[in-house]
Amino acid sequence: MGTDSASGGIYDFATIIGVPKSLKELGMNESDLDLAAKETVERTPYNPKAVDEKSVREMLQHAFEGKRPVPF
Amino acid sequence: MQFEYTPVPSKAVFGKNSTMKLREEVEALGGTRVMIACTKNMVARISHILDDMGDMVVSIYDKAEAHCPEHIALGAVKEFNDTNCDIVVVIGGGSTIGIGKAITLRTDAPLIVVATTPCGSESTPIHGMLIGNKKKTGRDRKVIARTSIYDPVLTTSMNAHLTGTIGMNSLAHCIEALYAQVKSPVSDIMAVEGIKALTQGLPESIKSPDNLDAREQVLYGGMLSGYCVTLAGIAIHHKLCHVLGGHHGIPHGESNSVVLPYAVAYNESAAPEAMKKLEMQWEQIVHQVAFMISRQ
Repeated sequence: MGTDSASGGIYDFATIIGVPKSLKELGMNESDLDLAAKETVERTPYNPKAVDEKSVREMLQHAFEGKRPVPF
Repeated sequence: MQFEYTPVPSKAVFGKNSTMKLREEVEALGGTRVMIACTKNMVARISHILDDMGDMVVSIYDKAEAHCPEHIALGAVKEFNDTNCDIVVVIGGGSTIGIGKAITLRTDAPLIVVATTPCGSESTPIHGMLIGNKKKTGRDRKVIARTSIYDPVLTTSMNAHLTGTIGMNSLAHCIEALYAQVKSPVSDIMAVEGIKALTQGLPESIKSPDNLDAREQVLYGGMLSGYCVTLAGIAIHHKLCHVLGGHHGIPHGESNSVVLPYAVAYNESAAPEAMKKLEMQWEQIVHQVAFMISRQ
């Protein structure tokens, strides 16, 4: 465990405190990820990185699977 | 350096057993007829507070429910008016605070919150209620609690799951404040301090629920997370969590817990200064985490 990235560190912290780690285990359907990406793009007026459906959908796929994140 | 900063218009009263100052704080705001809003379960736990307040307490509205449904919130407004109350005291977390905000929004009566979770909602201008299956929210600075009391003793009943998931929501607000739209050097100070307090306090609060020093750290971080929302704003992480909660029924703490690492990964290259601040904190967190593992 190290500080290779801020996101990886947060993921390790979440593991230690035992909170849910994937949208899959929360009962989300993979088929709903497209809609969630679309809604998120519509509802996010400001974000440091530009928000587009393709990138948000990719991020959601990672969150669905719950693997240790890699920076975009 | 160029920035704008407007402080959050709220008094904080923090510390173990600070709940015993409630009467004093009600009087300081000129309150004479108090409505207490809480959940059914809370009533037995606050009997000592009610005893201290005596006949100032005109009404106890103990119908608070998750997500603050419309009929519960509007029922509270009606009871507040019918019993001629002049101040509302919420003893609870986010959903119960929703009731207090609904009353203040419609009556202009002052709101006092005794926070029983680190959600931070008492210091934000965001109000809302559940209408059908949709959360309808609005923004008005007048719903910010005039006084908030933070007593870690009241937070020890949160189980490990709630402590972890609500704590991740607070952590997410502090982290997003580092790169949200109206951030300032002043909000950065609160965000970094909040991250520090939450990451120090959460592991121990989960392991030893009665450790008041750890609970105090988490509640302090939660208080700062509320200030962060108001002072800096939110970004993709919280918008996504609201989407997941609205149409897909995922509870707010759970969605926050899962999404945060990925939302930070998404922004990692676009917000280098914020990430530098975060990684500096992480050095300390890694020590903390290593310490936890060594004791397992």
